[in-house]
Order: sequence, then structure tokens, then C-alpha cells
Amino acid sequence: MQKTYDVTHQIARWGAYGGCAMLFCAAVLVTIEVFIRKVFSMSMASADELGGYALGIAMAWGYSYCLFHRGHIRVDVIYVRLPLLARSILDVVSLLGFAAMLGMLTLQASNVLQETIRLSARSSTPLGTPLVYPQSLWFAGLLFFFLCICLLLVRSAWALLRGDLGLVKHIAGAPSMQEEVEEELHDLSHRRHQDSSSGGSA
Amino acid sequence: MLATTTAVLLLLIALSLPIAVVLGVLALFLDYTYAFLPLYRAFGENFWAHNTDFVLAAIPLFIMMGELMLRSGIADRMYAAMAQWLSWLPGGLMHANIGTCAAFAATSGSSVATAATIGTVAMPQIERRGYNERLFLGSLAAGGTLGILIPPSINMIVFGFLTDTSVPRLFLAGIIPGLMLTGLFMLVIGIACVIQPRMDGNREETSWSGRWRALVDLLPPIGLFIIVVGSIYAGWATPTEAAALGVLASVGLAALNRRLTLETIRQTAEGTIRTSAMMILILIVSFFLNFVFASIGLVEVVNNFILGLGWTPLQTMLLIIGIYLILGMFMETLAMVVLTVPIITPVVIALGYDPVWFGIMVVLLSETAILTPPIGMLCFVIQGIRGRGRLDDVFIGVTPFVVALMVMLGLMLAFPGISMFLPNFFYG
Repeated sequence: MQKTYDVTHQIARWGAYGGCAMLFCAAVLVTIEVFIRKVFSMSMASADELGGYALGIAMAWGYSYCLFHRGHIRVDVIYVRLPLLARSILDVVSLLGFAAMLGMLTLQASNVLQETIRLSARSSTPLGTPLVYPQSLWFAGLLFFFLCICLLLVRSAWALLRGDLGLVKHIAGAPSMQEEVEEELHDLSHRRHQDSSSGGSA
Repeated sequence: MLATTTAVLLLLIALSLPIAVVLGVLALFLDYTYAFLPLYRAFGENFWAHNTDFVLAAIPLFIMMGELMLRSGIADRMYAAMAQWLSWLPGGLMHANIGTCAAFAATSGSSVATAATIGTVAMPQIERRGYNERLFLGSLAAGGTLGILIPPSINMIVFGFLTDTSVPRLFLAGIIPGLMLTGLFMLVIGIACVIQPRMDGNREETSWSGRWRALVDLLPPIGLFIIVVGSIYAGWATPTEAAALGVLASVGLAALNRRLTLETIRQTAEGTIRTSAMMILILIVSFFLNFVFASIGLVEVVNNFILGLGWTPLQTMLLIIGIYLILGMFMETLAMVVLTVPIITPVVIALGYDPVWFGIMVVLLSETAILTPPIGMLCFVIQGIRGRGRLDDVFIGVTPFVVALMVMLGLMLAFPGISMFLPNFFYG
């Protein structure tokens, strides 16, 4: 189980890197577009279409990375006032809710993709992109997200049944304010360390 | 319909589900219960359309720009430069706290990261120069909030998407209130230190030659501001395109400061994807929920209910502000905005207020929310850096600044022109 978890986490991480790289390429493309439009008064008019696909794909793959880092925020007004057992149960319930919603979404998204394939749909823009390419990558990201949710759901539910509440918290707990502050400070000390080690520039 | 929706919403929130799931499940429930046609079949198409909406790309790009700026190593020198320029005022370095936070947050976009970064640079000065600790800490927390009011602001982009309000107008509308609030914060410090000179610290050495030399260190944030905001108002770029320009400029800046290491890139990628995936998922699902709301006529029901109370616009607005102040004490600001703004904004418009003005009000209320106890995130971060004493010190220290925020809200209510002047001037 731990192995599957680690491997999936790694895939999600590389999905995030890939997505961020796509977004950065989109930023470069858009900048070129802005310059060409300004300097030569002409437009490629396709940077925003490609940028849109980059966004869709990057985010579809990013959702699962965010999930592994417990980043999908929850309203924890009541949660923080409950004992650990109740919190653990809510952690599993929230994954269950995620699974239900993403199950529905992935199903509907697969319909969208099937329709695109059936009609060999192209975008109604000068590029006329065959939509099957961006849509497949987008759908793959959503499907992977759904599978990640199921994996975490099974793992946390199993941990809950065994009474390993620490593991449930580790997998699915909503980070407390304390944890968030600690993470921020950890990140900060990392940056400060770089500041002092790279030296010279100050 | 209204009672059922509220009850289900409260139940979902009580279960502490992720916000995106709260919105999604509520949408599917309302669809199942009230809609004539099964709207869930549009979920996939709707999701694809918004997930690839280029306008939304502004969010991850601005977040990426902020992550890069955060790691570009400009904070210390900016603080020193602000100290040269501002610390002759009564209250000394506390003005530099406000000034640096305002400038830094405007480019980094994250209030929390800003307060943490500047807080670490500034905090050793409390003892070295003998400042009143509480007020000093309060000024750091308060300063961190300024960034979401001064463009570019991700909060305004979110508001713009949710209510179909022009983002360039919102950006313009934030400039004067942002500067005024900065001024009010400084006024609070000045007044406190004039009445109670013991709160002030020993002066730093400043000189005009030092000031001119330090100006160079203020160039990166000012330059980035001009590139991003200037390109929008020169008509060269949309907000998303401006964000793309900002990303490349901040990469250049990080490279110039020799900070563009593999480690920086990795951290930037992880931070960017984590934050933006969370926000984008919530926004897309909330679009679908709004689509369901509109289809089943819920917005109209709310509208009729509130207008049916027969209150004056001002009374209703005061009630809305009161609700936000209370919600803000207990709820994360993004959750608060996404859950309330799509429903409340149509009411506010029906009362005769401008949505751009209301957008700025919501941002001001969000600023208040991250400062007020019991869960004022910024105060927790400042206390975390301080690492000693009690959290209450920060909450006490930030109180005068919260009062200044209330004054700002009152001024906005009395003189809407404060925010509307620039957008009306530019766009007529």
C-alpha cells in the first residue's frame, strides 16, 4: 500500500512539474504575442487558445498534487473543535465526498471526450486545433485525480478501521493553523538560507 | 427553496468538506431537487470550457510571478531602502514595515508570505532600537494585508470572475483606497508615537545621499508594477497577458540576482501548482453552481427576499458588512468570498451600488478577516516568527490598524468616489 502511495505521489509531483512547465511556455508564447502585436501590429491570435489548453491540462494534473499536500482547503470552524476520532471520521467523509463529485465529473468529462472523438471536433479558431489532443491530456489528469482520491480514501478508511488515527490525519486531515504557520516558516527559512548562501548579491 | 439550500449548505460546511466539494455537492443536490432538466449532464462541458478559459490563466501566472519574487532575494534591500526614506517620521521603522509590505505584497500577491518575509527582516529591530513590541508587530501584520488591495490582486481577479466584473476596472478602483489605507496605517503609527513617545524607537542614520543610493533597491517592485499594471492601462495587454509579462520579468529579476537555481525553480513550480490548483478547482465548480443557481432561479429568490424586507440600501449594506465581519472571524477568506459573493452581488447591484465598488469593499473586508481573532492568519504568522511571548500581543498590537480598516470602510461607504474616481476617469 505504502509503495502504491509513494509511486502515485511521485507521478502527481511530476504532473505538477510538467503542468508548471506548460504554463511557463504559455507565458513565453503570450509575451511574444504581445510584442508582435505591439511592434508589428499583427496578431497570431493563437497564444490565448494554447494558453487555455495549458491551463486546463496543468490544473487537471495539479489537482492531485494539491490533494497529496492536503491543499484543498476546508471550512474547519467546527472541525477544529472536535476530538481526534470525530475529525478522522470527517477526514474520510470528505474524501468520500470528493470521490462522489469527481466520479460524476470524470464520467461527464469522458462523455465530452467521446463526443469530440466521434465528431473529430476541431476548435473554431484560426488554429482549428483537433480538440482530441488537449482534451485527452485534460481527461487523463482528471481520471488520475479520481484514482488518487480513491486510493487515499481506501487507505485512510482502512487506517481508521485499524484505529491508526495518526495515519488518517497524515493522509487526509485538514492542516491546522499551527501546521500552516509552521509550513510557511519552514519555507521562509529555506528562502533565507538561500539568501545567505548565495551571498555576494546584497 | 431558500431555507433548504441554506440548510444543506450549512450541513456540508459542518461536515468540513473541501470547499470545492461543498459547492459541487450543493450544485448536484439543487439540480436533482429543483431543476426541470438534468443540469449535471452539462458538468463536463462546463468544466472543460472554464478549465481552459484563458482569462483564468491570470491566476496561476500571477501566483508564479509572486513565488518568483518571493525567492528573488530583494526583501532585505527593499526594507533598508524604505527605512532610509520613511524612518524620520514619528514611529520610525514601523513606517518602513508598512511601506515595504505594501510594495512587496503588491508584487508577491500573498499576504502571508509577505508578512513572513518582511517580518523576519524587521523583527530584530524591535530590541535593537527599543520599539514598543506590540505596535511594531501589529504594523507588520497590518502591512501584509495591503497587497491584496493594491493591484495586481488575485482577490480582485477572483471577484471579477465570480461576478462578471471587469478586472482592469477593479484594479484601477483599488489604487486610491490602497494608498489611502497605507496612509491611514502610517497615521495610526504617527499618532500613537506622538501621544506616547515611549513607543517609538531610536532613529536610524539616514542621509540624502543614502536615500538616493537606496532608490535603486526600490526599482524592482516599481518596475514590475509598471510592466504589469501599465501594460493593462496602456491598452497593450489583458490582465492575463500582463501576468505573463510579469512572470518573464520576475524570472529575469531572479536571474539577475543569481537566484534562479534548480531549487528555486522546483519550489516555485510546487508552490504555484499547489495554490492555483486549489483556487481554480473551487472557481470552476463555483461557476457550475452559479449556473445551477441561475437555472433554478435562486438568485431571484434571494433578491426578492432581501428587497422585500423594505430596508433602505444603506441599512442593507450595513447588514451585509456586519455579516462579512462575523464570517471573516471564522472562515478562510477565499471560502467566504466564493460562498457569498455570487449570491450577494446581484442584491447589491439591485440596491443601486456599483459592483466595482462592492468588489473593493469585499477586498477590504477580506483584509479585516485575516487580521481579526480568533483565526487571523497573519497574526499567527507574525507570532510564529517572533517565537516567544503570547499571541495576544499581536492581536492587541493590530487593533489600532483594524480600527483604521473600519474607518476606511466607513469612508468608502460615505464617499464611493474614492474607488470609483479612477475607473470612471479612465473608462468613462
